[in-house]
Amino acid sequence: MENALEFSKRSSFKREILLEKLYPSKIILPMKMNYGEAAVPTVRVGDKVTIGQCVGAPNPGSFAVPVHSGISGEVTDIRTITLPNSVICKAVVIESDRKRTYHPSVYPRSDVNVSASKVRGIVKDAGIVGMGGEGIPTIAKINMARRSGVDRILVNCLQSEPFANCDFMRISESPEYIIMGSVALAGAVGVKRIDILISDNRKEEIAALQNAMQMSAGDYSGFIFNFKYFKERFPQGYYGLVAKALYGVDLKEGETLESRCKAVMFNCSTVYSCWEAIADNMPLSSRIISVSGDSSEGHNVLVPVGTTVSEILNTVNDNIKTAKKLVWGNCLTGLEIKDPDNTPIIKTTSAISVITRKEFETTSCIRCFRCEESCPMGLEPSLLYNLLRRGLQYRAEDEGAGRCIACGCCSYVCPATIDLTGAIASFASKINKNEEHPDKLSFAEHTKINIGSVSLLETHEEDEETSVDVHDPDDIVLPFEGGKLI
Amino acid sequence: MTYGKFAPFIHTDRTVSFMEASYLIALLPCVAYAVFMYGIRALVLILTSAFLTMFFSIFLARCNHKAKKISLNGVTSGVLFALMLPPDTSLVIVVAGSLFMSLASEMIFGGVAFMPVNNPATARILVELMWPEHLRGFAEAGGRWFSLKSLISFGRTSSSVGSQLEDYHIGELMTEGYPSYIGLCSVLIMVIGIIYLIHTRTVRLTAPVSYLTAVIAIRISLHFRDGIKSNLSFVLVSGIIFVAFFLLTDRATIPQNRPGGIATGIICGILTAGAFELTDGILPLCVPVVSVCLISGLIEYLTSDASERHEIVKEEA
Repeated sequence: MENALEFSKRSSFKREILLEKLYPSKIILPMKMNYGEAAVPTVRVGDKVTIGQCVGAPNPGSFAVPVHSGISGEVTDIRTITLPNSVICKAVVIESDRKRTYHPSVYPRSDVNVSASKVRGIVKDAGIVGMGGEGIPTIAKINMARRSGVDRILVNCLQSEPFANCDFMRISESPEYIIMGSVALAGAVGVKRIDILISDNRKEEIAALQNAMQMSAGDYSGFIFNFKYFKERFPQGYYGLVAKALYGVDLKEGETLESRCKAVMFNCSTVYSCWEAIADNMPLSSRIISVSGDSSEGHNVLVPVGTTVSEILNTVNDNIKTAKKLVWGNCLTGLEIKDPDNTPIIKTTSAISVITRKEFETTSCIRCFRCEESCPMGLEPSLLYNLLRRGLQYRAEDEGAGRCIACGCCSYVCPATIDLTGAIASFASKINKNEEHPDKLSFAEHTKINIGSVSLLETHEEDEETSVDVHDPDDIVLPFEGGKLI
Repeated sequence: MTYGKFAPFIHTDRTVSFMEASYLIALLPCVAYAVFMYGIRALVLILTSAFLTMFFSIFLARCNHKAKKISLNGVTSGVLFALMLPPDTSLVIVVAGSLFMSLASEMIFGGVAFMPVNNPATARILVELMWPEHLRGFAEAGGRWFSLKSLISFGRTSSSVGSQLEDYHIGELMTEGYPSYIGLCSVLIMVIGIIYLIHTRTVRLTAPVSYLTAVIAIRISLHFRDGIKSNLSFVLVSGIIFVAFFLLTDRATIPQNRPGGIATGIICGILTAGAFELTDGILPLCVPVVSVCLISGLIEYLTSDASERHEIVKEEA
């Protein structure tokens, strides 16, 4: 990828392998942490909850995912909150009782030899969504992949944004979960080929994955693993750029990796969560967050989903009173936080960034064309900005403003510090939400999926290809030939 | 409300101020060598030009009731202008040039960023046309290091170059300096500044490289019988390297897209090579630059993408 920014040397992490576990005093669990609709709270104020317990369930027929508690305690409030991404939804507030009591259903599964359809059911019920930032329910992606007839899955280990390291932490700490999760997802999709996308300078992570593959080789016979190496450049992990890099395909509007390239991509943290749900029967209720910024010592924190930003920042050594800004997400694509005490991290939040440097003063454009050089989508941000400033919105749309992916590269490199991303990305999101446009269909409509149609208590949908009698767990289908007892 | 400013929240350190400062730092080797070669008068010329350009810009902006901060752009323009003057130039000419640059940029066009032509090159052409006999004082190196007499006298100067170009060894031309304009006397020193500019990635090289290629190619094709030394001496002494990397890298007046930069460099190079067949001095260097700047908008338009030119591209069904 020619137009890209290299941030491999920008990490402020001094001790990359450090992972801290945080047990917050309370969590605020939004009912909508995914692309789609919000779940409905299934608890009331005063209810006692345990770790792994479902506190929000999708309405039948809705494009929503369940929400589970990552701490044990008492529900103290159910209120409407506004997240930094402008999502307004109900949220369940749980105060911790410090007991760390697990739900009875959360225990290591004695037999992980589960069928492909059961994997899909587990993924759906565990509330797993794309943890790389997309937030698309993983079961929806699996079903879409099956309908599209994909022939491989891609495991995205390309975390190229600055000051974020959570995915690499996950790979280093639990590579076997990544491998087995990949196998499980491949089986769920119905493919044999797994391509791991990773930066070529991540030697430790590559070695960890390869070692894990060797150790568990007997558990995935028949599956083919490939490593695809990339230069660590931002935003290489974006699906459109992966399509271009791997398959030489320029995805047009409305096209996806599944439809055009016959491949489906999952973030490595998502893959980990899938295997955690299969092997440990633990739903998605916690994740690793990178806490870093332009001058703080960075480290990673394993936190329950819903932990407030202020509690996470208490783990940072820096004096956060000097911070100019707190960012929900990474520095290039995140959102500013104004109220850290009441802003929770959600399933798709990968980082909390602390910005200490003051902003540069904006000057007039000097026509250096650096924005054009850095745009991964091949747009001309300076031209688009001028068109939008002059009110020529139709011209800006003709020039491809709708293809902006809001990566922030143009604003980052602009010597005049013009807010190109803000202007163009806002316009792009406005025109992409236009429901009258025939190509601008929502994910659910396009894939014709109603993932909320099966509640947690109903049996999982069996498909025709794997219509195996699963009364006897020894009737192994795929992919865990030979069984694996924990 | 829990959200505020849109991303990104970090920014490269290569801001406009950084780029302006890089440009100025890249000129410092030429400034230092000029002072070493020609003495205090060169320093006074350069500092006066830089200070006056900045001062006049601020003063004129304030006269227009506009708040203007101290910008390195004015300083850089002043330094560039001074470096293209002979060592025995009078301060009167420097004042006139600085005033013209400030008037043109602030009063007529509203700022350096909006100038359609290269400011220092235009000012240099202007003073050359107004006082041609007063800008011939090419001095030998050494000797009058502390003399400031030439600054305050406004008499006609004559070329004081004793030796011919052919008497200088190539190594001497690169290091010791052939008597020339105060900033153009040593290619080696210029190269130090150019390397710094390239290292900081402050400039684009398409226009300079195209320009040099065109000039050298035409020169060699017309003068190949003169021998390698003669042609190489021309490259080292004529000032085309200075023009290429310090005038044709001006973002405000030279197209920054690749095709535009190449076209600009080639056109300017052809004009320069042709002008050197007719005359010598500063005019063959600066006139092509200013001429190309006047049509740079057209070049940029013609070399931009089809969609920018509002052309309708019919796609096959």
